[in-house]
Amino acid sequence: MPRGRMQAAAAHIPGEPGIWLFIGGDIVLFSVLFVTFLDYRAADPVLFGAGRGHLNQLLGLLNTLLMLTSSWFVASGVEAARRRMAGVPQFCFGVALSCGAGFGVVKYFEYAAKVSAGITPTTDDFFMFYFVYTGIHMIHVLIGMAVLWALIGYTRSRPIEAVNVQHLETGASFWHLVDLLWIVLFALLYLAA
Amino acid sequence: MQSQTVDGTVAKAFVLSGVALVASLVLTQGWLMGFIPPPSPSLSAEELAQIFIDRKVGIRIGTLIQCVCYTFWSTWAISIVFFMRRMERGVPLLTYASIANIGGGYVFFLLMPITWAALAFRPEAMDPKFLQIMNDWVWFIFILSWPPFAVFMIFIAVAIFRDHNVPTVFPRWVAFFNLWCAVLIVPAGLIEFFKTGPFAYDGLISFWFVFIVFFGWILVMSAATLKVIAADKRAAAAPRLAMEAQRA
Repeated sequence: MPRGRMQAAAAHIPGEPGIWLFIGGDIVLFSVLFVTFLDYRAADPVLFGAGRGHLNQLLGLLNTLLMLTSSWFVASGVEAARRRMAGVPQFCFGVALSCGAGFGVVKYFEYAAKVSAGITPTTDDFFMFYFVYTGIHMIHVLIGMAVLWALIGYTRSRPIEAVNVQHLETGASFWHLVDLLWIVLFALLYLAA
Repeated sequence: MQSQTVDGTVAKAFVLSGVALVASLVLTQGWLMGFIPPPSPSLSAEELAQIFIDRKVGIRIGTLIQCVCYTFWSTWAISIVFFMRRMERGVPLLTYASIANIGGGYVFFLLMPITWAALAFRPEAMDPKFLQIMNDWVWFIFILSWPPFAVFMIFIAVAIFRDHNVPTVFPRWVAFFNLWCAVLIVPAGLIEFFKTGPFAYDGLISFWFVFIVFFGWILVMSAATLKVIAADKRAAAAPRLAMEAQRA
């Protein structure tokens, strides 16, 4: 990459500045949540280890793959809009939206299996955190899906030349946040010993 | 637009009433009543009744001040709506919806001190079990009433995003800030499920975090609105100054 272009790429902040206030703020919330979790886990490692053993790693991994795939499609959609490829952004955001829906379906089966096994948020501290944190994250997924839906509507309602890529970047940045938070949650709840 | 001129002095007083609300909260709930953080929901009824008996004078004085200062929710919130009206064209839907929303909001604010005052009126004669339920009820009013306030934050954000003025009345980061706060106070809903831990009504997340975000939001929005009022005053003075300069 020529030097000048590299500098331009480094200086480019995707989306409008305000979204980064939102993202930074949300990361503050999740940092508080993660530290709280670690604090409780340190006090009772046996209980938390047993709780982790009850989780279905395979479903967690499946959801991680869905999140990563959706993020890739969102990024590709923005790139396609940048290159003025008509029709492609809608398709990419549509696939990402379906991945988000798939994530919700997997979560539904996961929750249902837990509840039918008699495990609820009040079972113990581990499952309190499990249900609350994945629940708060699921709210983010739903908001993110609404954002993707809005991006599809935005790109569909105007010729590709008139699409403001910054608007797409703003929405896409939020979706990447949803993905990022899930990666940390997955590691924290399902994997970390 | 002459019809949408805002009287800066009144608007400023309205904004400052919100700052007074937050100050009164710290003074009354924190210092006089000792309810920051709340008494733990896992306390026994007798222990809780003893708290009300021991602190009844502080609670009575505190709730009296709260009844005055919590009313300021409506005066404070409406100071933002003045400017929302200016952001909207045609039928000002968000403005109307916000006015209705705010009118409902201070009912929650006032129900808290009124209920506490009733509990501190004759706590010795009260069945501790009944007092316990009523105390839960106050905290549920306080924390579980988050949705209309979150909706107001979303109204503010949408109004800023759709603002037709150039430049916008509020900077756009204020919109994102409001959306963020609306998401952040969601964990308040968890207090229904837990009596101990971070999501109980005295917990780190459902109390401290939500509390700091909500009242921090009032302070940040106060600062942002004061800035708008100051800019408004400068804009109004500019043509007058230009005219005076021409005359001289």
